[in-house]
Amino acid sequence: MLAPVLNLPEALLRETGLFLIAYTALVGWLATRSSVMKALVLFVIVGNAAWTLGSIALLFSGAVSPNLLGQVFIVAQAIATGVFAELQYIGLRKSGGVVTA
Amino acid sequence: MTHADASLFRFLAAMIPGCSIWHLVAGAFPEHARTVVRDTGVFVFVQVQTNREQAFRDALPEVAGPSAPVAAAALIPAPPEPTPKQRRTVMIHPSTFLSRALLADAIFSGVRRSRLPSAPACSRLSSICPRRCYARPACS
Repeated sequence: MLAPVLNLPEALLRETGLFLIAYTALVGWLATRSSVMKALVLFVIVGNAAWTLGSIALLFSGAVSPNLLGQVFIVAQAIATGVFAELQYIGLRKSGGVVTA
Repeated sequence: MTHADASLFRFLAAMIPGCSIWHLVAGAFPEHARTVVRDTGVFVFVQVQTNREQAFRDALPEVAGPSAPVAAAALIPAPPEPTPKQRRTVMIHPSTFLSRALLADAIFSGVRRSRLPSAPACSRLSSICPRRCYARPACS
């Protein structure tokens, strides 16, 4: 498993994995819709941004003490998630509104 | 439109209550307006606000006078009223870029999830079999 390799708490990785199941289902569903709720897309974007900030904060908080590989693992995921947030934000601005209330 | 016409209409606009903005031959029928101005002496294109329309109609005969023929008061449509509340977008058509970004995010998250333990049973088995238990049924 990754926990001993990265020197990260197994509970943290397990909860993260459980969250990612639901998140993957949600984002995958969103990606296949012809029209989606703007608020839901914004939620995903904000969530990704929060994930990025949270990952960096986790490293500096001292709550975990990952080894070098673990730090690289966290930083790489933070960067990738931040890039996704940015891309999704650009895509949202390119999208057209269809229903107003 | 001559300078005299412009002066006359400017005077009328100043005298007519409720006539906030007035347009002369620059309106919808400029040629017709010029003709009427030449023949009758008075032709007014008036743009009034909706709530002042009646005041303008009431005041027009007094200003024009019974001997002054008033051909028409062509009301130029007022600019569209601002919507009472700003409408907000609820649903969107996701652009291709957004759909692909979401799909890539889903794939990336799925890959991340596959690298992380997610079930207590799996973590128990992993202590028995250090390799990934969910990828190796033989371990269970």
